[in-house]
Amino acid sequence: MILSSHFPVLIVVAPLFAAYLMPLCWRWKRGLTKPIAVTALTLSFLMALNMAFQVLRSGPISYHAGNWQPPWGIEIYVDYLSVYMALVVTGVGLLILIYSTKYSDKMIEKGNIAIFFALILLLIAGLTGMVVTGDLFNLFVFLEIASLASYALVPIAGSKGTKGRFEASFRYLYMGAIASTFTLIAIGFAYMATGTLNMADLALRLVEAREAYPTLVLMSLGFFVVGFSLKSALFPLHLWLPDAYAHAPAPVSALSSGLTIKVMAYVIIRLFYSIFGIAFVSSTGLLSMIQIIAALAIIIGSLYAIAQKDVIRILAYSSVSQIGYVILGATLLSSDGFTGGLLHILHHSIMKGTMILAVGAVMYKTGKRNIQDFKGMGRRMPYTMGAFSIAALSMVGIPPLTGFVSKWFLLLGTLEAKSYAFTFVILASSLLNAVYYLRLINYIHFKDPDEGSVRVDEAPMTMLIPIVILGLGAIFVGMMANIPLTLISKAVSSLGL
Amino acid sequence: MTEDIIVKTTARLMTPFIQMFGLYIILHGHLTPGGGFQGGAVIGASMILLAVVYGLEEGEKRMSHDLSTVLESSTIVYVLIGFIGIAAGVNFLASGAAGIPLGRPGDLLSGGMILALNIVIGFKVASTGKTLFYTLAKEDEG
Repeated sequence: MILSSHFPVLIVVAPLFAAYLMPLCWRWKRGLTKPIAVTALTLSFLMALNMAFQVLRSGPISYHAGNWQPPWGIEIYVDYLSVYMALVVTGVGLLILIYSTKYSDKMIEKGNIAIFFALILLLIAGLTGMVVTGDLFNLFVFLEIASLASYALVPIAGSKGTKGRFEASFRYLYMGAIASTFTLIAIGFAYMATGTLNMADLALRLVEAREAYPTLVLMSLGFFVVGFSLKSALFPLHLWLPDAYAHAPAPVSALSSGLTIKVMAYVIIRLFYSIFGIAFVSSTGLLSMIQIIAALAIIIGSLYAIAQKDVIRILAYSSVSQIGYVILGATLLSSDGFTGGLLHILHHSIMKGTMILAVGAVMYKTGKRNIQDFKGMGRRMPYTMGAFSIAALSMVGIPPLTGFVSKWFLLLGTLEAKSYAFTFVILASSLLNAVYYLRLINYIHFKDPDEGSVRVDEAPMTMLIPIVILGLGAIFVGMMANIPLTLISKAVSSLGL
Repeated sequence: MTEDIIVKTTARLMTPFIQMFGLYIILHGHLTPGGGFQGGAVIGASMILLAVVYGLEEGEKRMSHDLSTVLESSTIVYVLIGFIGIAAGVNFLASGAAGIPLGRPGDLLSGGMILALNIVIGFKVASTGKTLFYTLAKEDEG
């Protein structure tokens, strides 16, 4: 089919187009709002699947927007890593969107619903754009689309939201704005040093520029790393994250934890491997620094999570810890470690998506989310909490669940890199994960509720089905890890490890 | 709003010229500095001027909320223009390659689709500027 050659751009255009239709539909054909949103994202997901087959069959796709040849025009470049990320973003994003169609009826202020869907679609369009683009400035534009949508999504619940929602959103906004500014400065420096913005061209020219303008290139790298560490909530720049999640509607937290911070971590990987070159990054000493920061993130995120009473905050600090795995895997300089880090992007999206959506379903039914309120919830919402528990066990890393596979690869990676301290960090973190996730499971399934007897009171089907699909994903994606691995192993080898 | 004849008359006299200037910047976006965004911001500013001088209700009468909703979604047209390239068998947003006449450089009607894209962006930015002002102003009123 001739249209399939345009999928690299249409995958971004479909949600973007639908996002602008949302306010119009809401004004004149209200019934069409949600179906259009779901259709657009379904199309995106199918296009991502198709591109995965295209890329596996005939290698990376390069698409020239407006028929301008790179490096002058904007190039969209879909390689193994991009298409893997695009699949994660559109796939998990689609499930979260389906969940939101029902969730929004009760939990979002009526006047904001159209904007809510428009912003979710813009966020996903931005993230998809970031993973498929081959142009550094284009990446910044999509970064801003995604970021601005996320800031606005935090207080979107309006009068049905929490009290501190504007403060949380504002804190997220100025942290994010600093990060965006850093990124823009970094792009400026890179452009000053090389005179190009196309990623492939930049990578070639940076080799010379490193000799000619060593400070400029170093500054560019530094600004990039700080900017995207802030965006991906890498410890100690994670301060915006727990507040934003605690005040945002559940689907928004799920999108942010499952997709946004993962895509930001992807950009760090892309910068290190495809643009600056991992050998150069390693020679600056930055790599070992980031390894230590990631290890600290893993441990301290878990420690914070243990101290929390609000279930959403437990999950938020757990995300801070899990992003450490991704970054640690990407910086270990071992192919197994890198594979583990990349696998963890998918696995954590599935696990954390399940858990946040399940907590959202509990809030939908009861309006509560303190750990004490989860007593006996397993009897009240058996399927939701079943999926939650599977995901929680998977997070701890119990075989054969999903979390085990990525942690296994990461452990192999630390052994291969002979960084035994990090082996210890990963094992210790699994124990810490067990402390807070098993405590949750204990509350959910083995404690009696305060009210005495409970009736089964499940979440609505539209919300339950995405939760259950993701929960089953936490079992089967781990058991069939060879399917994502076909893409990941090619991505790892194409990035030179 | 106070009844100030000098302010009202000046605003009424200036508005057409401000809007004309905005349109000029939009239409010459492919030839001179400026473009859809800058021109749209100028037109948006003229609407804000009217609302400040004549009051929010009068401004609402000139350009209703429905109209700005439509104009803000004009980005759809941008995407549709992008599809012309795909329909012509080349890439998204292609212009010259899609067989659209490029004209003589320097003429108003030149540069393929860029003029049309600038007009779309101009509408979008003008109505967004107006909506931003109204949202803030109405929030202030309570």
